[in-house]
Amino acid sequence: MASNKRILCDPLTDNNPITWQVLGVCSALAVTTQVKTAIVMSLALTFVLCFSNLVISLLRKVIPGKIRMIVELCVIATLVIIADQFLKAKMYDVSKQLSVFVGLIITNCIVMGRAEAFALQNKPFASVLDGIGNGLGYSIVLVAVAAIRELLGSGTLLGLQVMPEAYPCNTLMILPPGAFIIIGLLIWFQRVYISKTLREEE
Amino acid sequence: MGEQIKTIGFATAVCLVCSLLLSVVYSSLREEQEANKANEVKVKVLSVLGLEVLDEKGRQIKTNEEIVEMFTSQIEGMVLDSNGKMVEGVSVGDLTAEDINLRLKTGQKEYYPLYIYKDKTTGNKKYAIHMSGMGLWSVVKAYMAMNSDLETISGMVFYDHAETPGLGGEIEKDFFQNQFEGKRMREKGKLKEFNIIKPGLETDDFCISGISAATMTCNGVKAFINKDFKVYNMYFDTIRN
Repeated sequence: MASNKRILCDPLTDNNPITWQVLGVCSALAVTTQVKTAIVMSLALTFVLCFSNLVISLLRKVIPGKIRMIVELCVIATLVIIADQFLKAKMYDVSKQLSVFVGLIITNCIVMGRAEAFALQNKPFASVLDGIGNGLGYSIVLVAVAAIRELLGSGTLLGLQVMPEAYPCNTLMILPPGAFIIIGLLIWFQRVYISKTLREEE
Repeated sequence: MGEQIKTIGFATAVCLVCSLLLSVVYSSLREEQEANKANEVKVKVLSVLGLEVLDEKGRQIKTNEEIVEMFTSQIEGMVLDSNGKMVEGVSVGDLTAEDINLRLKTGQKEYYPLYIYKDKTTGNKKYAIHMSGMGLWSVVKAYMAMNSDLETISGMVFYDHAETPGLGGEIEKDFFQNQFEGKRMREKGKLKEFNIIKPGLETDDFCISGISAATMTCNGVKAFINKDFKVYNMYFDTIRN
């Protein structure tokens, strides 16, 4: 179905959660000094987003309106703790680097935002697609930022030396301001060259 | 009224399902998580003893199985009490973080683990001792490695703390830790107080340069190094004689 394809692909570019809606920037700034941590973080968020959308969508007709958001948070928190515990058991060194940021997925606006804006009104299958789409949209930006930061900041990619030995590492890229600058540039690039919406409006 | 009961019922059901799920996940992963934590301690001990387990960026280069193998085949552990006497019936593997670190309630420590490494080719021994105490905000934990003369420091690693990043937190950086190498804790057969002095002043065998803007952390580190070494020294005296 064409609409399903849109649900999945829109968040990748035109309606990207980070560059278009500017949500979830906190973690995008914090965990993007290395590609590896960025990938793990992306996977964790996509997992949480996908399943929280599924559960909320399944429950959408029975959730009492008054405690709607509390139930959403409860579901999201449960999924985040599962992801966190799993990382602590299976990928201990990465989980130490991610430290609090996996736990902070609970407060990541993307997850809550998609549950409220999409999963509450749509069928489970579409909601899962929306979750995967938004998760991937977040991942693309996160990995792109991390790749630039790791390459310029440490001269490596995924821990492998890429730049010649003589390359002077740019410490600015390792520090948070580096992430701000890169995300800013990405947002500019995306809005001017990729986004169809803006060009159509013009 | 009916609607309220329905709401409460729904909330209860959600909570029950979620908590049940979490309990299952937690209990099924707990063993692996604890193994990871135990492994981390082993890696720290091996690295402070100068064995190659970490690359220059502090990443583990051996698998967990190799670490356990290295640890059991090359390291001998024993547990001391606060009088430097060997404690029978307790092995270093049984000790938890609470056992060997400062208890904030009592200000006391119960057990002092000691790790001994014997180089198979040269026969030289090295000792790793555990040290911990208050920094500025938090309990700082470290391992110190001693050479076979039992007075020269061959390595120091601060492995856990919650000091201010960029200030007191700098104690975990190489420039600070590497200073300890070759320093001494005793002079002419007697304990000598170890010092951390103002950066820029000249250092001798018994002091290192501190960190600007982290005086409180350095004072804490200095205090627990001296205090904990005294305990281990009581045991070392029995080896020396």
